[in-house]
Amino acid sequence: MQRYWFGDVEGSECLSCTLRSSDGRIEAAHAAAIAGTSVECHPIQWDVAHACGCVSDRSDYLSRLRKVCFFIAQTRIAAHFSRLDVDLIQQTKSLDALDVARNLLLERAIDLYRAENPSFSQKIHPMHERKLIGLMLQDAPGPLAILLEEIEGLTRARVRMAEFVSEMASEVLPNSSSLVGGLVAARLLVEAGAIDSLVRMPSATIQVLGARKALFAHIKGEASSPKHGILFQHSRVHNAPTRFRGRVARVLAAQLAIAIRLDYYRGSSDPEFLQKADRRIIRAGERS
Amino acid sequence: MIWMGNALVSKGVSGVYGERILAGYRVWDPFRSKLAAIYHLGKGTELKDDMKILYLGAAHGTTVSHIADYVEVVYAVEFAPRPMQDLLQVARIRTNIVPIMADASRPDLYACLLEEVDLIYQDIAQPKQAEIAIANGIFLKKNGMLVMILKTRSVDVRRLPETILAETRAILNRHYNVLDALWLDPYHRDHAAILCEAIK
Repeated sequence: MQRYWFGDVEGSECLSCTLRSSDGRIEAAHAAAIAGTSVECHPIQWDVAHACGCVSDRSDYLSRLRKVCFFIAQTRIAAHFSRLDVDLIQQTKSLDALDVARNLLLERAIDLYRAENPSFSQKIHPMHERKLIGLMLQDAPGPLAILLEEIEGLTRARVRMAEFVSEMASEVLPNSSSLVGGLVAARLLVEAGAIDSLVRMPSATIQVLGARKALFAHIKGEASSPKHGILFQHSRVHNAPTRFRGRVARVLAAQLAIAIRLDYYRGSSDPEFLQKADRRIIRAGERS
Repeated sequence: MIWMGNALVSKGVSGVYGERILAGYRVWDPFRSKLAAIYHLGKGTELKDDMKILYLGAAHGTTVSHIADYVEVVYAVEFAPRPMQDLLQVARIRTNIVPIMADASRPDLYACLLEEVDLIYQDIAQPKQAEIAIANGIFLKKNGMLVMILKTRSVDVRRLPETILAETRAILNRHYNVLDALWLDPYHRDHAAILCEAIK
C-alpha cells in the first residue's frame, strides 16, 4: 500500500479517497501523519490520483493540493504568532515573579538582621540595597547567610531573565523594542494580554497601559487623568521635566502604536521610521 | 524567455511587488531577482510552459511570480512565517503556485506533497546550502537541472568567496554534474550561481 496526501492506494484502488474536506484539513492531517514515516522519500506521480479516481483531472489535482498546502501554511503561521507572544508574556511574568520572590526574601533578611542588631534602622538613614546586603553578609549567622545566598541567586537569575526577555521582545516586537526597549515593550504586551489586542489599541490606550487604578479613578471622577502608565519607565518620559512628561508620553504612545502595527504586520525593523519617531519624541521633550 | 529590448519580462497579472510594466508585460528586474540576473548574463535554462519547478527559499514570492508566469507549476518551499504570508497572497492570484511551508533541509517531511520536477531553483542563505541542494535531488527528473544560488557570505563570512565557490562546486559534483558556475556581478555582490544536471 502506498500512502499519499490524497489517500492510501492499494493496487489501483484508493482506500481512503473519501478523505475530502472543504478546507483541506483532513488531507493536511493525513499528510502530516505520513510525513517523515518512510525511510526513503519519493516524489509522487499525480497519475495515481487520477487512475484511482481521486481527482478528475490535472487541474483538479493541483487545486486540491493547493487547498491542503494553504491549510498547512495558515495553521503553522497562526501557531507561530500565537506561540511567540505567549512565550514573551510568560517570560515577563516569570521575571516579575523573580522580583517578588527576591523582595520577599530581602524583607525577611532585613528583619533577621534587625533581630541580631536592634540598633539598626533602614528608616533613619536608608542604605542603598547593595551596601545593605554587603553589610549583612559580614559575620552573618546561619539562617541569615542562607537567605542572603538565595537572594544573591535570585538577583543573578533576574538579570539573566531580563536579558532573555529583552532579546525575545526584540524578536517578537522589533520596532517597539527599538523605540522603548525590550522590557517596556514586553510589559506593554503583558498588560494588553495578547499581541492581537495590543495591535488594535489606539495610542491613547497604549499611553496609559499599566495605570489602570489611576485610569478608573479618573473615569469615576475622583482624580485627574493619568498621563502615562508603563511608558513612565522609558527614560525619555521620566527624565523629562514634569510638565512635559504628558506630552512626551503622548507622542511616544502615538509612535509606539505605529511601531506595534509594523511589528505585527511586517515583522521587521524599519530604521527610517525609527529615526523619524525618535526625532519627534525628542522634540516633544524640549521647551516649546 | 521573453525580451523587450534589453528588459527581461514575463506575462502575467501585474502588481505583485510594484514591478515595472512594459506594454502589458511585467519587467523582471535582475537587480532584484538572482534568476533574472542569470538570464541577463546569458546563462540559465529556458523556461517552458510544461515545466514543473521546485523553488527552495521562495521568500515573499517575487521571483516565484515571474517563474509562475512561464511554467506549468511551481512548488514554492518557504519556512519563515512572515514571508510565507506574502507568498500565500501571491499564490492566491497565481493558481499554478503550490505554497509549501516547510524546512527545505527536511525534504522527507514534504516529499509526500511533491511530484518529480524538471528544475530545482534554490536560493537559501544557509551555511549548509549545498547539503540542502543534494538532499532535495530526489525530486529531480532524469536530466533535470539544478540552479543553486550561492551566497558566499552566508556560508562563511571570513573566507574568500572564490574559495567557497570552489568548495561548493566540489561538494555538488559528487551528486550532480556541475555544468557551470558564474558570479552574479554586477547585479548581486558575492553571489554565484551553480548550474548542474542530475546524474540519474
